Amino acid sequence: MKRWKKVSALVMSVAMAMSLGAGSTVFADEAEYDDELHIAFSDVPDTLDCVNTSSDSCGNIMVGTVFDTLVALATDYSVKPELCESWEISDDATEYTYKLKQGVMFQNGAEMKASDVAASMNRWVANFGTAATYIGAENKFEVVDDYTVKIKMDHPYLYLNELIATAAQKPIIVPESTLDTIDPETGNLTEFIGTGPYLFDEWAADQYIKLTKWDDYTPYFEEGEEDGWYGYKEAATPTVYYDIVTDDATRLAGLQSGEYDVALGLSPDNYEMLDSDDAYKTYTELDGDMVMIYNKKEGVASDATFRRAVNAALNDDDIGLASYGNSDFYKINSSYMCVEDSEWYSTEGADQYNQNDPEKTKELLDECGYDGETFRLLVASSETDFYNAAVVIQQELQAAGVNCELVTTDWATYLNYAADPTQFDAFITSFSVKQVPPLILYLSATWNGWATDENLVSGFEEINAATDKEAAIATWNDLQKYCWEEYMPVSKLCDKYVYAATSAKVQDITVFKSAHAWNVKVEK
Amino acid sequence: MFYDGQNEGKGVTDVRKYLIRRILTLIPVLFIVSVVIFTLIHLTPGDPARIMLGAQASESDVEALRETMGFNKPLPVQYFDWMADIFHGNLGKSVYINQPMTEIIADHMGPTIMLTMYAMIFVILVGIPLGIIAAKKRGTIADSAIEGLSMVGISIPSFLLGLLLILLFVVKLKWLPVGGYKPLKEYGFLENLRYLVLPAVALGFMETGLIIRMTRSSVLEVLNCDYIKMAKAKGVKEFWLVFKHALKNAILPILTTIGQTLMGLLSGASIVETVFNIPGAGQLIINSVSKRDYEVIQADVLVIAVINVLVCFLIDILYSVVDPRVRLEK
Repeated sequence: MKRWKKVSALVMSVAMAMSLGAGSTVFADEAEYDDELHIAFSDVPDTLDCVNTSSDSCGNIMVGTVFDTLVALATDYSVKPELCESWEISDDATEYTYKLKQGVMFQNGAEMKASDVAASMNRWVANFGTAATYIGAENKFEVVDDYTVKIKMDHPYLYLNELIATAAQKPIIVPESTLDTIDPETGNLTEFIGTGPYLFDEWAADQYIKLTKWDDYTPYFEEGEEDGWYGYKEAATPTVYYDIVTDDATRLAGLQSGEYDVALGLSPDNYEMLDSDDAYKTYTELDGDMVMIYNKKEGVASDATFRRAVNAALNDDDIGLASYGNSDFYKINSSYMCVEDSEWYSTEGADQYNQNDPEKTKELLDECGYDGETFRLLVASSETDFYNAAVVIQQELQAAGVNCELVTTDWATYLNYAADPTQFDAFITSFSVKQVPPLILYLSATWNGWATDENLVSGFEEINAATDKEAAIATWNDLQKYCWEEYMPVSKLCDKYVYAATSAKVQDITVFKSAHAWNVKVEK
Repeated sequence: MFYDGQNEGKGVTDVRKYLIRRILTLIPVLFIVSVVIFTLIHLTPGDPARIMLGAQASESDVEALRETMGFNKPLPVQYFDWMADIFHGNLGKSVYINQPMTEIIADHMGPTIMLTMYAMIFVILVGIPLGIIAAKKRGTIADSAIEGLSMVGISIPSFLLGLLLILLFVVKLKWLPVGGYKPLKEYGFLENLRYLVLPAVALGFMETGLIIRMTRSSVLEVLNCDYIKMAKAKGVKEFWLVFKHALKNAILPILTTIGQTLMGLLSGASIVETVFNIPGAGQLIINSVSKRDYEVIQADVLVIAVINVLVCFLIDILYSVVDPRVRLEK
């Protein structure tokens, strides 16, 4: 008995010592706010050079904190000047001139000048295929004077600012000198020097990315002048940890235990629990749309009538519910442009959406002479929402007489297969919200799915070349109608929503296209 | 591999020869492992250039990056380049992690070794005593309870136990951190243990069940031997009877199981590392496979193969230390 008491006492002592170790920092600082902000997220970035990756996690961590861009996106999806003071667009939309803010400093102590901006923007155009396509690889940003850059294109393009503000590969502005230190093997920056309020401190592989306050930073906006990615930013919390936590349950448990202040990418299943508890705050936002993209280059889906047959069978309510489990996290919306307030929002072709009409499918299958060929639907097993959608689609198509087979792979294989027309007939993916139709990648002739239809291509050429926005919008309405009723390049499934959850102690957080570290304070 | 020796005088020479032979057998093992892992990973679809650029990258950008990274070279050329690097002491280079490979492996192997060590200590400290108690109390409620516990241990998956432990000790009691890792060198023993105690229990619980069962049956077998009855009749105290006489003779099969356990813990660590967010070698492999970071996978697997061979080797040596009747083969 005595021995057991001794053992118990020893265990208790160790447990108390360990618990005290955890709480020791509480007494170290009597300030009102915590010195550290912990954001738990799951998508490990492949690089922190935002020019060279289209994965969201890089931009969400580095842009607005370490790096800034020439222009930025506000919460109403309008484009605002960020590192530039203003811009001018020539009447024919071929020339853009940017007046830069003066006195903006890089973290290496040098002032940001036009040469830095021109070099950074030209690197972006060279490394980002979409930018090269729209701007023209041969068209370069040029220095006009120390605080002015311009670009003259050989064709009109009205949406350059929208492209800069929303590009998947971010046009970060860095000192021209850092471009000399690029790793020749990967083409990535080896020094992360920007104009933001945080310095890049450490990337501990598979653990965290640490940013620390840049003491010499001077905000270049007035306090209160902020909206989305645009405007006033400061390092209100001196140290920010982006904790890489791949397991959903661990992120949630860490938020509940107080270890993380912010948790991203949580399951919709946990939303009601967190939302109804005063210890947490939740922020829901439109994340984009989930889409089934057909292979229009070859195979059974290269026939537009077959694609319309597949589309007619879909019950998008069921698909959304299976994918997100909660009606707060998906929305039935036929517009390729998701934001209802946008001038580009369109209901053209809406009657072709969410039809749930297997009889029509059978008629269309007869019309196109379908004789039971396999329709291969590609999906990544790691993306639970896409996978659940694919399972429902498979059942709906089989009930309507389409021999649908799921091709389920890991993410890396999925990326390769989706780029190879011999490997799939359709695949499911999602896209972030776009401000202008030409930025919708799934309607591109060169990207996976290959929407090479002449009407679509010439329609986009018209929109890109338009100097009259009303005319461009009218063209877009016609194009959306044509896509839904005839060409059917994709079946839009639903809009999707995500949420960020924070401890109730977290103040002034910006949640717009992810949760951001600038201006955030955490009460002790 | 072993025989009851009659060549005791040649013991030292035997050990030396044995050592040399085992080290030499390592070369073909590592060569085969290198060819298999290189072929498997390169024949699997997916490439780092596409992953790095992301799903929305254009085909031309992906192709340009592939060329820059050297992934367009023929596979045999890539294999011989890698081998040439290894013979020059360079295990390769990660596409994503900007560190020398030896540092990457060392940084990630540290948490895995610590985790495995704590789990092993848990397995030994809990499994062997409970196995002995079950054998001693055969047929009693205590025996049934321990048997039940070992069955639970064998049945419950480590990730589920990990999540249950997190729920109790992190979310409810708030005693321990949810995950992560604090190196022993920088943060000291208590902080290191605080981060690894739950993962170690989650990882070791299944193996504990196995050790309990193995210890129980081995000790039971020995306890029925005549020399134990004789010792008992001579009045040897219970404690010494078990630990000095019975356990010493029952330890050989337990030692074999411990050797297998150690390898089981090493390979099972990746699941626990994921749940508890520990940046170990298992996590490194999982992340590298998902990103097709070829050279990291190859180097990590090679190092783990070496560790496995060394563990087998160590267990062989331990046999002869624990039981002098066992001698290493000529």
